[in-house]
Amino acid sequence: MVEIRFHSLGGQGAVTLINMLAQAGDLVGRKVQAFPFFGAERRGAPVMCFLRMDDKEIALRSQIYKPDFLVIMSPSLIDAAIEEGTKEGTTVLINMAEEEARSRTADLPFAVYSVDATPIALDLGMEVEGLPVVNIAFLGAVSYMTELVPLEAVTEVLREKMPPSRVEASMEAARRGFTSVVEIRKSKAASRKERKSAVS
Amino acid sequence: MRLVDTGNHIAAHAVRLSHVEVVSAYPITPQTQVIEEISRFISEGEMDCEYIPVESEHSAMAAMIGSASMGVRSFSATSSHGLAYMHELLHWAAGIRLPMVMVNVNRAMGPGWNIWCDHQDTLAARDTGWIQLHCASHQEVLDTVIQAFRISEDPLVTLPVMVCYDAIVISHNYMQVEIPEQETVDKFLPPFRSMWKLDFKHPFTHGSVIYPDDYEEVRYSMFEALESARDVIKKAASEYESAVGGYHGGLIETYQMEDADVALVAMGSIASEGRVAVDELRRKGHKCGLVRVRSYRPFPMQELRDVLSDLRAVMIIDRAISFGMEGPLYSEVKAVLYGKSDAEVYNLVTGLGGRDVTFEMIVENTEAALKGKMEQMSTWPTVRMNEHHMVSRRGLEEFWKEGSAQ
Amino acid sequence: MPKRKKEKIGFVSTISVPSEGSVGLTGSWRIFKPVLNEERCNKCLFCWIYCPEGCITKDLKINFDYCKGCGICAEECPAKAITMVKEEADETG
Repeated sequence: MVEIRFHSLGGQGAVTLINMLAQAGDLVGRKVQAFPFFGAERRGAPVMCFLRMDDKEIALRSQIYKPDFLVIMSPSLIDAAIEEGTKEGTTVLINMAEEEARSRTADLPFAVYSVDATPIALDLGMEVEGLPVVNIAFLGAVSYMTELVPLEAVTEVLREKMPPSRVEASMEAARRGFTSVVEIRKSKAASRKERKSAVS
Repeated sequence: MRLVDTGNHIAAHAVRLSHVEVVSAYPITPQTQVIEEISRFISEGEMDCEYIPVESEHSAMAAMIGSASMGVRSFSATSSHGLAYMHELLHWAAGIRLPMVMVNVNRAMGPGWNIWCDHQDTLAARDTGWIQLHCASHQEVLDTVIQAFRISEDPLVTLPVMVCYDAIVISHNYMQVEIPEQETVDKFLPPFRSMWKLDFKHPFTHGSVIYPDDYEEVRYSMFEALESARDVIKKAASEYESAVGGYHGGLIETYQMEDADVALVAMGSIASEGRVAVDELRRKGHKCGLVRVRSYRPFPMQELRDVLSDLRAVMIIDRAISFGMEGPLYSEVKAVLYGKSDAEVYNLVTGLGGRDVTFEMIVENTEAALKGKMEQMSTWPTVRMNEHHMVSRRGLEEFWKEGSAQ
Repeated sequence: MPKRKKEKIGFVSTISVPSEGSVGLTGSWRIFKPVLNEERCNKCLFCWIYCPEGCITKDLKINFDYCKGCGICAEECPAKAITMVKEEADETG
């Protein structure tokens, strides 16, 4: 089973994101479970979402405290996201430009990937009242990083779920999200091992 | 057709497939999506149904009583304070023996205001005469709502049925469900043939004055109907399995009980998480199984005796509290085992107001009980003081200090 | 040890069917009887609609088998056309 936890701000579209990932997982024959933690349902408030995928029936109903992947959709949420629980081997995907990600995640003991989703959303007109809606770019990025659902399944879901006038832009956002994930670093443990082998 | 959708939307699909003709409901988190989806079905012509938007839950049930009295298949959905607000009319619907189905999305009672899951709302409606079925998965929500109409309308029963599932954990969780074809459901659920309906040509009154000479018989008849409901529920479950597919147990559902000497007993989504706890406890060498109470009323007395009596220990998990007593499910399981079993009986009261219930916590506490480190009484394993609680405590301490200084 | 009652009583509900006088002829309860003064009566039919027992017909005939003598018709009559008169011993049943 693969467990992913998402941290976002209300209005970024995380609930729609996990729904679409679940739909895509279903298309490729996985068992899926996707649910939000509902707090204050208002624009800008922190939101947590959970996604599980497995090849067999999922019996778990609890939240995710040891995620395989931790998706942080706003830089302001790094500390809160990590405090909520991680494990050795958690991989982080963060919404940030490459350079900033390198400096701001330097101390994290995790494998870190970044995607600069905000410009993608703004470029494609995905903005609601001043807040860039980055979920579709993240759809592509999560597809790339987790390899749980291929980009084809994601675009299939977009074709089905988005209003016709938004399908093309959405598919483009997902494609750009998919192709612009940057590996910032492998986990500390892994990179240390690599250094060792480089020395010997 | 397979769907990935929320438990709430799945319940709406079940209502659509059951050819419900009147829906009367008032929106309340976390039930709102159920009736939103039903209104969508009606407005898009997928359902031929009258939707009555009422001004309160009290009226929602009153309108249901009206439509069911006219011999029309009726549905409502509510949650928590909504259920509490219509409590009086729950007695009316059951007391005048009207078949109808209502979904209750299990949500904590305020104050403190809370939209998350526990079973306090449902269990407080225990003695109204309604049948109560509790679901642990999305597929079970769909299948049980359809079965509930059959059970409710059975001439041996003719009582309202409440289908309960957990707030957020099921209501707002996207999972896969097989939606059966309409023709398949129609074979299982025939059109509603009411025993009577209000009719100007043959006038009668529901719920008139009943003197002491007659009242007990009316209540005894309800008692008898709930006794008969045991077999009707089991039959509905097995016939649904052969006609439509999908089985989630009759009055109870068991998991890994064949060789078990320890059992977890729970209702709702905890019983699903509990399966993972059972797997983990087995990995650690405990012969553990799980019994899920699917029908809370009628309570599975004989079924529980059959599976639990010979065990060494039973861990009952309550997602509600009977203040001044203990976990309500705990009391009832103990009552059923009285004089029939030497099993040790433990109780976790947990998951109130949406407090997350993890399999790790269940495993840890079950192991503690098995090691003799827990008393046979209600234990609150997830209670801990934090800064929020200290604010009110400090305020109170200040108040007392000022008081004693005067 | 007493056993739980085993025999089934089946379906008993709270339905009641309208019928004439389920507690018998309530006219015997009457102490005062309504008497209509047809000259004062303006045929407004308030008495017909207010009578709780449906004892007054639309053509203003009073059914004394069931009239309990409650006096509501007299109280509600705007023309004061109904008076309540003490029953004579020989008139009551």
